[in-house]
Amino acid sequence: MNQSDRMKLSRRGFVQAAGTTALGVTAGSALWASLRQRALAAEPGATKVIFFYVPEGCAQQAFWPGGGPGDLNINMSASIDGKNPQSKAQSITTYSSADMGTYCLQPLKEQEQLLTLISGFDNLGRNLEQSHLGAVRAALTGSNGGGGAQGSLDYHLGQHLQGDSVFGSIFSSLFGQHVLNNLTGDFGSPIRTPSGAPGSPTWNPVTTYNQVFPSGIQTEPGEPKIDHRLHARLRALGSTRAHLEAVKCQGGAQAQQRLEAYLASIEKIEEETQALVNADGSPVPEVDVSVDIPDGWTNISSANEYWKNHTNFAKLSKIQIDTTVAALALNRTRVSLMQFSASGNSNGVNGSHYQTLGIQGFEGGTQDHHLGHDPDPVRRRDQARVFRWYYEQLNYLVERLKAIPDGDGVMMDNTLIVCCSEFSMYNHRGTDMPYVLVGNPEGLFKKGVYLDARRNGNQRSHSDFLLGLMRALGMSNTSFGTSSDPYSGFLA
Amino acid sequence: MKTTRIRWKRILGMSLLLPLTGCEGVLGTGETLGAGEGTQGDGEAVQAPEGVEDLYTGTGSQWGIPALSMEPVSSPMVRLLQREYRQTVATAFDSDAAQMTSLPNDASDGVFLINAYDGLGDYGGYVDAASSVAGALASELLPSCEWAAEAEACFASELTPPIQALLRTSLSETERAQIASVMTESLAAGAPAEVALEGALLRVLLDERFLFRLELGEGGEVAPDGASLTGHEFANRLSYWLLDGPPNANLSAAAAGSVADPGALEAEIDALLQDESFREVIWQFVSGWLGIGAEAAGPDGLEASMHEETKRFVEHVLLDQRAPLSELFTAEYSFLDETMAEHYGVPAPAGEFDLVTLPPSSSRRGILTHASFLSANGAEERDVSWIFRGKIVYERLFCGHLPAPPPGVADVEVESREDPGSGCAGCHTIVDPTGRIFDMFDGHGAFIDGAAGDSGVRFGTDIDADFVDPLALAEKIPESLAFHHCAARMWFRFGLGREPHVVDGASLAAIEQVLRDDGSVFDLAKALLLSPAFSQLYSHSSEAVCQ
Repeated sequence: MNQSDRMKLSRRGFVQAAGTTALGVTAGSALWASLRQRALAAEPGATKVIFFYVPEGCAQQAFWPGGGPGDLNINMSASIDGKNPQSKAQSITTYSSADMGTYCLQPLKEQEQLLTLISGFDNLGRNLEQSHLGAVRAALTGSNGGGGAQGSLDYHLGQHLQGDSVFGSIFSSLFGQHVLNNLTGDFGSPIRTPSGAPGSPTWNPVTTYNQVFPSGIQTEPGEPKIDHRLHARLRALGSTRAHLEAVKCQGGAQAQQRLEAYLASIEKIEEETQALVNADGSPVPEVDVSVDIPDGWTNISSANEYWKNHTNFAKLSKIQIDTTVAALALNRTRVSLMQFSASGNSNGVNGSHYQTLGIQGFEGGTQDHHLGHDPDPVRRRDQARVFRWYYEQLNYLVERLKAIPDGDGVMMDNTLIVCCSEFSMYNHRGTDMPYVLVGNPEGLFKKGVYLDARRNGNQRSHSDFLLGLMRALGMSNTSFGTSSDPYSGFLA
Repeated sequence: MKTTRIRWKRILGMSLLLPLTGCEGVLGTGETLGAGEGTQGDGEAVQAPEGVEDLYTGTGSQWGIPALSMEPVSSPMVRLLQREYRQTVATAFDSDAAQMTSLPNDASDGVFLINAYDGLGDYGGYVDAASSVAGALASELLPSCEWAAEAEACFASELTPPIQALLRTSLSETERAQIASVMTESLAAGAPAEVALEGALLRVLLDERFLFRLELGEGGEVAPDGASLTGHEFANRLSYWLLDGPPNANLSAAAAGSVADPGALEAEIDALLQDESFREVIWQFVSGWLGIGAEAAGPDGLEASMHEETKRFVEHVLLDQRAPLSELFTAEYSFLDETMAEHYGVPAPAGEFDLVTLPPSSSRRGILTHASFLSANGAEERDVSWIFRGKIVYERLFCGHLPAPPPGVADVEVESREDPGSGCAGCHTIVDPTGRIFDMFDGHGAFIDGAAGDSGVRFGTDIDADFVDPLALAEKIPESLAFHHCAARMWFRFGLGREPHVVDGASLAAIEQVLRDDGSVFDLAKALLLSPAFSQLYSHSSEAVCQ
């Protein structure tokens, strides 16, 4: 079924059949009456992609199924208590653990038939002198870590899938502003602009919310009001753009290049702001996708710097996920990259964010950099527990997407979630990157399986995986990063 | 705009008194320089410090340290650091509206924070930040004028002065009208006054003259062979280095009048070095140089205590005692709280972070044995920590350079990485033995029993020897010419945001001499700020942009 076919189907029919269950309301109620008036994305059923990025990889024996490739069976009895989940520089298929395998995946048991696990990919960017830098650069660009000459995959897919949505792709990041001695987006974040330049992580997902929903999210039907602030912003951006065009040739080559890059970014933001102005009259959604943001938090000049407070990590994670859900549901974008914490993150105002999550069995003061280096078995166990916590959040995301009508089904039917990292495990290793695909838009992928992508026993470049995703989602690229050999083993 | 050429030679002659000799070569022409001589930016020659002459000639290397480059110099154009952004807004608007704003990350040149080489391509974070700051400023400014009824007059009286301070320039009538129109058009469209005002403030907070420090030099043309900064630009460069913000009136006047009254500039710099902000400058230098995070990892606990120890130590040694830089490595005392005393196995002081004389049994002396240094450069498996600790000593104290590992060798076993046939020995025979000097300290800098042996410095420098512990290494640092040369390069790099080149020979030599003479960081700062390099601009035309 193609997208135009889907658009011909009655969404209302589905809502009456399934929406009531998801929403917990009954036909005939006042709420139901209002919901029926609402509309969803302008192009129902359009394919959407979410990148779910967690740093430092995982504890391999606690992640991959103990039984090796084949049908996926998440072992709810798997445990790491008192054990030392190993991560080695060899294929996981040679040392997988029946006792510990899939422990990290347990929160996704309900989604088992939506999952595709694929081992056998190696991020060679980690071989750069600065492993964190190289691995992060390569993570979504498919480069060799020496610098990205192209944008990250989220950008390219965003351009391909954008349709009539406002943003090609959106990016949000969380709690990574204090990466050890190197605070750059280049080091800390996998997002890259089309020219390969690092993006602009703010480590506060509320800034993404502000970008995507500058006027907030309308939750009740009614005449939209003119957002004077948004219009004023558009004027300011236009004036800034005009000024930059007049002065961009000042100074020497380096200055001109910087001003050109700045101008290009302002132009893009101006275009997006114009699109937001045009979208002022968008209908409210059929379900409530408003984001629960505490009072005052949309002010990112907040004196309490809530986004640096480690005790807010869980709440900010939820805001990050809910913002993505709302952005997809309201056709602000069709591609979202969510980054949770950062590679090598340890040296912050407070790097204790994992200590306050109430993770069952958590033993130490583990930070991301510990996850990436420290061989202590406590750290190895804690890495598995942290990863498991992240997958609890992933499960929440999946459940949210299942609850929102879209086309002739729900948003999860049309969404692919790509779980990724920059390393596969601690000690800066990149073998067996922990790739998981959740969802199956257009029935493209094998589901409920664990695949191993190695060829003749050798790991494949992770860029083959990224190129394979591009091809699977309808792009015609013949190369991406270092790859001209797209992986296709995950296709149905 | 009135501009003033900075007479660096007068300043140099006044302050540094380095012997200058005749020039035997001109940069970029391919001529051979005489041994020990380089050329200054405008062609004058400089005598290199004794013992390191080869490093100033632009060819070859000494002790594994590459000679100063003869490649074309380019002065970096930087975007403001976070703290500079905030301080500039604070100075311009007399407001703390930006103090807590979430800003895009600062970048690094690999050692120091500088937003010059980051290649940032997405400025969305700045638009978000500017929107937030503009909103806060608009709320503050709203009561000061009848913005809706008297927009033009309010703009002139209430906004123009802070905007000019923010942008570090005078606005022309045309520019003023362009910015004001953002506000007046919003008012005409029915926007509330506060929203309209916010729009105008957003516009100026996105102006490249605020966000970047663009220097054009005298004449405003590209200057591959160097050009003097205008007095205004020089004052800005000085002020942002010392104060993180735009210059005050005294500094601007002193910089503009430096030709007529060079003593006034020196006096103003002397005064500014007494400012509290210079303490932060020094902390930024040391923490960047030695790979220690400038900020603590947490508000309490071991990592906070180790950070506090080192920061107090650095300030005491370099600022309060005005001791030479080398004393950072040899001081037999530190500043401990109970947490650190327990961590080091020494008696706790009476007061929190009191000065404690470290007993010989503690195996602690100087910053190389601080837990902050050891954990920031080696919180790894023991044999991996060797690499990081050896690497930072080699690269930061002795300016050696290690190439990236060959592809696919990340997992070579420790037993074979120093074997000649492993392909790894070239680097690991340098860094591993150095790292093993620190082997009695674990990843958190706590003492453990048992060094690995076979440890020592094998750099080929004047400090090479076998060492049983970091204390023995530290003892030799004050006498090392290689160390002094490297420290001078690091200080230059910290000050100018770029590596020194042959054209910077006189400036670097002056700094190096201060280090050899056991000068203080105050002397180092003056040597840098009054050096010819600090008032020079180098830029190059581009074939790719604006042609």
